[in-house]
Amino acid sequence: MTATADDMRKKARAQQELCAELKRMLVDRLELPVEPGWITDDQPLFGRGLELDSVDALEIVVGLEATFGASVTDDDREAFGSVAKLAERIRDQS
Amino acid sequence: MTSPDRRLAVRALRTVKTVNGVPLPLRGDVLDQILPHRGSFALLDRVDDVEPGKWAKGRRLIARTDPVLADHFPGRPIIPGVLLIETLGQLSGIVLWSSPPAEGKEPISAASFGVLAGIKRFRFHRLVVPGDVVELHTACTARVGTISEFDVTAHVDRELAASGSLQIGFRASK
Repeated sequence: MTATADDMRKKARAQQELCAELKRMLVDRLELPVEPGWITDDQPLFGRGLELDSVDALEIVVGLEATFGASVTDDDREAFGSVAKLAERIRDQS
Repeated sequence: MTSPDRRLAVRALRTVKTVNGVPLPLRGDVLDQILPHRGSFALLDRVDDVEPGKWAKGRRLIARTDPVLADHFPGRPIIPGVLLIETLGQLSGIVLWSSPPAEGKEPISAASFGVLAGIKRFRFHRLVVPGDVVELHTACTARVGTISEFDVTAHVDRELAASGSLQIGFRASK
């Protein structure tokens, strides 16, 4: 029981760290005029969220490959939904 | 002695590389059928080699009669850097035209055309002046949806003249 709770805490911490790294990557590569900490894990990246566009999507794909060694195709629209969704795709591939 | 007829026959037997069924190199009127640019914006003179969907090599000859040189600058003719970017963009357009359609996706429609969507880390390393032959190279590094990214270079006399990345998007023409 204790081991499971510890595992869950570790997973949650790993998720937080991955999301934080993703936000730094997004702010750096896309030169966003915000602090990484201002982006929430579930904030939509496109549309009324961070208001990213298709050029930014390409930059994200290149950044994911370069920084995390993860590949996301443009067919996988769900992955571009939020930072948390991107983190999920990276975890799935690690 | 080899007769002229025999030389011609041997030349005809050589394998001519083609792209989309068109023999290389691509020149003037063929380029006009592929790219929409005309007049003073038809900047690409020749495409020497293409790896479909991946890279292309081409060239532009800088004529001293090029009208842009009269104003840029009077008495000190220099090809504007933005025109080098545009020329490399047009060569990248050739790579897009040569791309085989991705599995399960529609081929690029003849009714659509590429436009510059972004320019990254561009540097101009030397001046390009009348009489120069600019050797151009572009390589596709990423493609997401309708946007593609290319690493591009321009050399003159084997010396790097410009380098950077271009992002090109495809749009419907209407």
